[in-house]
Amino acid sequence: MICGYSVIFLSIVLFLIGIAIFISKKTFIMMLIGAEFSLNAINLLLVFFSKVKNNLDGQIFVIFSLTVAAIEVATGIAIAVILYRKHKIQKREDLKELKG
Amino acid sequence: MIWVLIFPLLSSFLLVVFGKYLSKKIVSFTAPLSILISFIISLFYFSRASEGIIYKIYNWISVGNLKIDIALKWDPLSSVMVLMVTGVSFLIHVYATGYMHEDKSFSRFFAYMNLFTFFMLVLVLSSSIIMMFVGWEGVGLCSYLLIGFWFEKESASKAGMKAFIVNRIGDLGFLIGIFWILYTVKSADFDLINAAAVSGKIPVAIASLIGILLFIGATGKSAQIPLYVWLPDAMEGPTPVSALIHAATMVTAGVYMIVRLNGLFSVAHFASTVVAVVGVFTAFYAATIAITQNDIKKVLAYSTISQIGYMIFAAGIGAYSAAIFHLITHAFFKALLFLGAGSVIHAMGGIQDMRKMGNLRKYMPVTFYTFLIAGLAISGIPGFAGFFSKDEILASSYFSGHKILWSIGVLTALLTAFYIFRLIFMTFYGKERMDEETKHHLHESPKSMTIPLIILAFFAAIGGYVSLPKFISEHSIWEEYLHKIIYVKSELHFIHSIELNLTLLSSALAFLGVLIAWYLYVKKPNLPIIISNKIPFIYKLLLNKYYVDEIYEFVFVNPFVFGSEGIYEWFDKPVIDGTVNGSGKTTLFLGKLLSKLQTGQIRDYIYSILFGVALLLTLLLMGV
Repeated sequence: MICGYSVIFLSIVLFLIGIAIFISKKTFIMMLIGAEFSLNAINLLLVFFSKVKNNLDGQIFVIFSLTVAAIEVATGIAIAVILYRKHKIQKREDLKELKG
Repeated sequence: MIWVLIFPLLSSFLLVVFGKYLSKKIVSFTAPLSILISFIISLFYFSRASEGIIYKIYNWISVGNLKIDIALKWDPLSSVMVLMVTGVSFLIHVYATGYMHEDKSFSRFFAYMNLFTFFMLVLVLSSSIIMMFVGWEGVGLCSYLLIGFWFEKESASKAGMKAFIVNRIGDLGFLIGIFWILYTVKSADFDLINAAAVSGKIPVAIASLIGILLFIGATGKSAQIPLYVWLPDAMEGPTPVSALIHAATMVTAGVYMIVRLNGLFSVAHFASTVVAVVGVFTAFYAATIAITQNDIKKVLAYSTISQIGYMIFAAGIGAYSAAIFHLITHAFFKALLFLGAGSVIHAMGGIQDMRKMGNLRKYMPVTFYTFLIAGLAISGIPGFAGFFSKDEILASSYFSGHKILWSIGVLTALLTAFYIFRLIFMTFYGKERMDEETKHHLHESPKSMTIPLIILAFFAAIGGYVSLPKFISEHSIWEEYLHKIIYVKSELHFIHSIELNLTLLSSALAFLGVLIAWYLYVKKPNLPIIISNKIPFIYKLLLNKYYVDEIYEFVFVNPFVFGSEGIYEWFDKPVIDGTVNGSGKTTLFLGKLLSKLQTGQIRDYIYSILFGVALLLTLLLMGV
């Protein structure tokens, strides 16, 4: 049995790293990677708790969550690629059309 | 019973919705047919009406102890009216299929005409004053639509608006009267109102006030002084409309209303006196104007005002059955006069000025002879319908002691004979004053127009024999039929020898009027101009209708327009526009402020999300 705290600690660290990447990186691709990091940190936590509680619900939920994440990444990357192709935009600062 | 109402309404609805797709043939078949069916149904009920049938459709308004039903009331009065309305309306519909044949809005015309008939039937069949008001306003609306039927003409649409606005002034009085009735009687049912008035539940002073308020409504709808000004202008509409709405049916609604509420009016002596004086004065006043008019339809319009004056006068002196009698005979001969005039205008290619006509009897004999019968009827030549009804009114006024009013009425009879035969002699006799091209086109009207003329002429000739003068027969079928609806029976005693003399006098005056007209317009056609030059002041005064339109313009319309402009400038613009525009501007300003939050920088959004989450977490953990 793995030590419970270490897993929780790991996932918190992963989550924070994800957030940090999301905030600090300027390109869309890197921001997406950051978002994936934090998402998977949460997934890890779900699987762990499901194991502890002897309840399969958590793991089933993770499968769903992964599916959604895959779709999200696919769309996200597609947007990023199109932005680059059409407008030559890579960095988020360049995208400010919605300014009020 | 309700089918009487449904057929015209249904036909009108069909014509409004599908009118564009129907051929003229179908329209000119369905529109008169629907009225014919109503007429047949009303004939069927006519014999059963003496018991007084009430057909309740449903409970309309129920507030506290005030209950108003939608109900049809079929008693002698309404059955006579329904028969007249549907009968005359049917004949005029048939006539209009010929008259309006060239018009491009053929189906729209018949849609309005059918709708008008429906509302008129609602008006006469209603059992409560509120439902009557619905019909009252409905016919007003149709009148407006039909006067302004040729809305491309500016004068027509203006005349429509004038009719509508003048009627609103009258309706204000009518509405206040209705509310006062509801307040004092706690019911809108005619029977209950009349019963309450007769039994003295309504104080006499209040009854008089209510009577005068209702009469203000009647002066608007029935074109009496001071609100008659819209009717001459209403002649801008097509001639069948003038015949149906502005001669036979709608304008008599005021008379019908007074007779319907005869219990109230016979208690309210002061109101009745006002009604009688206004009526007889209008009759005289309009007749004097009719003498000088040159437009064939304007003469008839003033003649209508004058004849309705007679009816109102009769209603005012308590001769209710005589008022309705004159209403019915007038419907026949005045509809006939208008349709005949329409036939003349049709032949003349739209010319209405009598100075450009003359000797038309050679070209259109049917129109001439029917018109002549109507002329004889309206002048009160013995034997024709108008003679009986007019004499009954005059005799009633004489025996009820209104000697001064009676003498004005007799004088009006002379004027009536004069102006109507002036019209006939100018139009059908004398030199042919039209230009060659018009003369070339002169022709008798088609069958669809002449047959209604002949039928109406038949009734205008014999319609009077239902009520003979008292010195011939004490029993009058007419009075016995209407006996039940009159609450306070008049106890007038007709002295036969005097009545005979009165009749001889008024017949002599009628003949005298015809004779003067003949002398002036056939024998010596130059004389009228010489006379008018001798007394230019009076002639001009009459020709310009006593300048009443100008006076109204100056006294009422201009100050109103001026005041409205002031209000527009000083209240509407700053206060109302200010409020509306101000609220819009405030929203825009706030929106601008808030939109500053949207920087377009994703970083800012992420930071604000994080900050929010952090704040929430902190609060949660602190256990707030």
